[in-house]
Amino acid sequence: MEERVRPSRSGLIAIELVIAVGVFALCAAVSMGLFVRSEIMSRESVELTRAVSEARSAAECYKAADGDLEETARLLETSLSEAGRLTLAYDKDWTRTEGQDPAFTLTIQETAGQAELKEAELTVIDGEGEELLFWTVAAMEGVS
Amino acid sequence: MKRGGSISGAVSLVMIFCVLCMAVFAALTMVTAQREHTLAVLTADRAQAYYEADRTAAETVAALERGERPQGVTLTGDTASFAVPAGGDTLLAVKVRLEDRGCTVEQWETVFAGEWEAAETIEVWGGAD
Repeated sequence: MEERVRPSRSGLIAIELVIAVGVFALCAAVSMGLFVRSEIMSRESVELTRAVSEARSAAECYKAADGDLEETARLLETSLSEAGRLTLAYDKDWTRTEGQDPAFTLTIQETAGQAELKEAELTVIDGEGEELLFWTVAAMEGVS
Repeated sequence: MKRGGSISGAVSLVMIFCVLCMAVFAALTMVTAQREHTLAVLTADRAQAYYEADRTAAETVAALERGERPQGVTLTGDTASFAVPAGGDTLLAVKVRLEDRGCTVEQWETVFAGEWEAAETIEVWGGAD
């Protein structure tokens, strides 16, 4: 009997180790999944916060310029396109860029509002234009 | 056998410790990320609500300049005042002085409109008996 017990004990140890490694692997997989989700969520939060910050800054420039897009372009150090639209391009670190493939784009487009109001739509999208990060309308009274 | 058992126990203990650490760190990371995301969404919502209120206020001022008296506007002499909800417990309080040509903005600021209660839980010395 004792000779049969000895190998079974070492077998039990092996089983214990296998179970421990299995539990470790399972917990590691779950934890890694949580870490990855957290990383994605944090990146989205940073993108949203920066998008809001840039849009607010541009909106205040638009208001400071009394709704004049050319003056807004001068304040934002960019140029007005032929379509009467202001476009600011950013790289993945939210630094202004003139590159062809920006990671984020902020667009200011005047919209038709009430007769006495000047309104502009501010839109922040990601580089592929697939995701709208932030949208708002800046308006000011002053065309009287 | 004794030596093998103690090694196995030590390995298991280290493994349990590692698993616990990983689980705690993963949970803390997730909670922090969720709170950051909630804060970012709240900030975005507040910014959107502020600019919406700003637009509504601009429309109201334009209507006042046209000689109309929109709903919610209080006129005191030549001064008109009104407030627009700007998200959460904040209001965009506007006060304009009406003039012959146009008007002059005297106040255009967000104010807290929520209720608050003074803390009365700490006993403080109320002066000499």
